[in-house]
Amino acid sequence: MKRAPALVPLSREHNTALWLARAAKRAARSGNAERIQQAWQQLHDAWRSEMARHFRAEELLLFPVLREGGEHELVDLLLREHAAMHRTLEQPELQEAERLEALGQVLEGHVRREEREAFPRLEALLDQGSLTRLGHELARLSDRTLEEYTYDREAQETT
Amino acid sequence: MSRPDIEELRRNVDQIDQQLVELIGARMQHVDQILALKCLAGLPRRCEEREREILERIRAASRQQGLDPELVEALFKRFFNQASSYPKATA
Ligand SMILES: [Fe+2]
Ligand SMILES: [Fe+2]
Repeated sequence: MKRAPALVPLSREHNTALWLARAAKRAARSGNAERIQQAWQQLHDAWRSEMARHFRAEELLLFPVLREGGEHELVDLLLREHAAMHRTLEQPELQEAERLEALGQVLEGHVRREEREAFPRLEALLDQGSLTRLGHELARLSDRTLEEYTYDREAQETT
Repeated sequence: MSRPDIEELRRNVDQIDQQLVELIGARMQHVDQILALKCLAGLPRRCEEREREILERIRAASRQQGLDPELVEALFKRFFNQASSYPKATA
């Protein structure tokens, strides 16, 4: 099914995330220290430029809709994955291959879950008008700077 | 039993084999995700209590299906052992 226009920008970012996730897994399995370090760097850069805002936008605007639609288990899992990735990307001192592969795996699985389960569910839950409004809200969020998205980890972990 | 009957039964078996492989693949994907989350959280890969629970459940389910519980149990033990070699990175 074609993605609702409101969700297209996030889906596009999912493509980037998938690419990064697979590159991370390949680098981890190569055992090459330089490639491993590069992959970590790419993920840290992506976290700062795109991922942190992307996570925040989903948490603020998409997950509450899914919860209202009764998808508590799905949202809990997505939040746990967000928190695990966020924690990992905040610990630049721990850059082992094993964690890199795990991070790639979690990111890839997370994006798949959102594309295959969360987004189709949102498209089913929201009517055309609500989807259009959601699209505007998402666009408004992505105009702001990252500083405004200070990630509240404690709030994450109690959810 | 005529030849066409056997052919049809074989087609059913082939279909079920395909579904089995797909289900095992889906199970592995979920398990890999759990193992990756555990790795990021610094938790041990395997949990004996959880493995025991799974084995109890599948033993009961096997008996209900009239299957040899040991056969099914052996398959699940192979699944559990695979978790020990996660992740694939060696460095
Ligand atoms: Fe997400
Ligand atoms: Fe996402």
